[in-house]
Amino acid sequence: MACAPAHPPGAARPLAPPAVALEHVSQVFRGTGGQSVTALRDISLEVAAHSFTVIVGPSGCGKSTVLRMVAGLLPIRAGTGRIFGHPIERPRDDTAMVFQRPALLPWLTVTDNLLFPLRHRGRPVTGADRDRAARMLETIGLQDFARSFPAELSGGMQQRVGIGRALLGAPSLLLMDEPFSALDALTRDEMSFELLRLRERHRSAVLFITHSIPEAVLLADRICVMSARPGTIRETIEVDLPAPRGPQTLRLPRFHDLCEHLRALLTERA
Amino acid sequence: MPLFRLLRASAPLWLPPALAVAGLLALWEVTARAGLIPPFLLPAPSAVAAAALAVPAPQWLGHVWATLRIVLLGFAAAVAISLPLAVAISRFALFRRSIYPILLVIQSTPIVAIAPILVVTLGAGDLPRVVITAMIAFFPIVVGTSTGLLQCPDELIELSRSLGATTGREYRQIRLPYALPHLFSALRVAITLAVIGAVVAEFVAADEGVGYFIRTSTAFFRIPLAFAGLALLSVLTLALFGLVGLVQRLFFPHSLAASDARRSS
Repeated sequence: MACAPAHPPGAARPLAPPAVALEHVSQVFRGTGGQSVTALRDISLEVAAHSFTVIVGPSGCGKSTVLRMVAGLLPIRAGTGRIFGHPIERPRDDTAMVFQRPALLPWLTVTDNLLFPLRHRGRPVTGADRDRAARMLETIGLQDFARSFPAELSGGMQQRVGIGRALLGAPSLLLMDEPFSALDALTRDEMSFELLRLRERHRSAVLFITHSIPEAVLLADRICVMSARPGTIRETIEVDLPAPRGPQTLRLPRFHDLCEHLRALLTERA
Repeated sequence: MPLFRLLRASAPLWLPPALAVAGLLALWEVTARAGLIPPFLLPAPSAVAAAALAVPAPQWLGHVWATLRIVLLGFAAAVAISLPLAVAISRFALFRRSIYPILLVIQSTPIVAIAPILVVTLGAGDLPRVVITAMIAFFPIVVGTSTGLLQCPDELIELSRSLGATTGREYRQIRLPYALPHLFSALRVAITLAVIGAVVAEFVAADEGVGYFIRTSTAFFRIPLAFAGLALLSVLTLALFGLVGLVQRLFFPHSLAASDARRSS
């Protein structure tokens, strides 16, 4: 699937439009007592095509709301949002989501879970699709579990299926909502390295939500630091750690400097 | 207690309940034979069996079939009404709030009190009996299924939305399969209630059926025969209950595994 659509006629854009562009997006919720709560205030962010952007912030800062808006699950009422230059109106076929919990269907095998998005969009599943699913299983290291049911897999394996399912459609944009937060610390690190490895093959743009500082620094090309009440972007940091990233990245002094910097940003408000 | 230990360790699963039933029957037989209870109040199991065997088999089969037909028609009607109702209840909050009080009123009205009225309204024939049976069986199906449909985890619904699926597909491919364990628990309760409904209906107006048989037997004070009919009803109920489980195991094996997994996690 081509990720860069033709330029809108008349638009003077020398480059392909970014994967995600939010401009001055705000969100006000009406509270139960009639008072309004500003959940998001003036959020602007850009995810370049093929790049990895992480939004990091404390719980309740509205980072998941931002992701849901980009996913087309929540309407943007104030400000504008575009994906590859197109206004966000509804969930798009070239965008895939990975959730905090694996969101697998317990009555389907691992293979059928990988193919579920096709079926759920009403497309016939062809032999070629099954081949791609088999290759994806090898990529995520679960080739021996093709016929297993999700309940037979560990939490980390389940989330790998969730990621594999999202990547199988070769999305141009991958939205990840704290995908590793339900995993134990060891599995979490392992999954981060695995995601980096998968990204070498699938160069989709990623918008990744987390509240883990090391995870953000390890994965991101760019980090948007959010603060809460109202949710705003406090600072945007370009991460200049060398590629390829992996376990060795964690030992770099620069990695620790960036983590310290983020920690200071996230705690000084409190 | 070496016997208990042996039972726990190596007995097949059906043995303990079978022993319990046999023990109860033996106690009953001894009590009746000792003359502690007059036989016209509580006949011995052997007397019940003898009375049952005295009735020709075709006559029994005629009664059983009459009751079974009402049970199955009423149960089918209950399922046919309950499933769309459960979908609508889970889909529309306003509908849920408006319909629930009505359902509760129907459920809490004693079926024995409505049955004669329905017979007058709907006339003779199968119709009033089927309606009475459906009325008593539908409620657990509606409640169980709508609960299952609503308990579907948010992340699965969000997955469906993020894939841009229609509501129809969300129900067919996610919510309904997810609700299957709930649905089958409800169906098991409903099938036993359907037998009760059919018997109540036969008590009120019928000229055949096991319920009718029990009523006429008691009217002529043939208590052993009435007990034989009762035993037959129990067997019928157990068989239907088992049948629902069998259908689940054969056609929806994963709904069993899913409920097991959910229970253990």
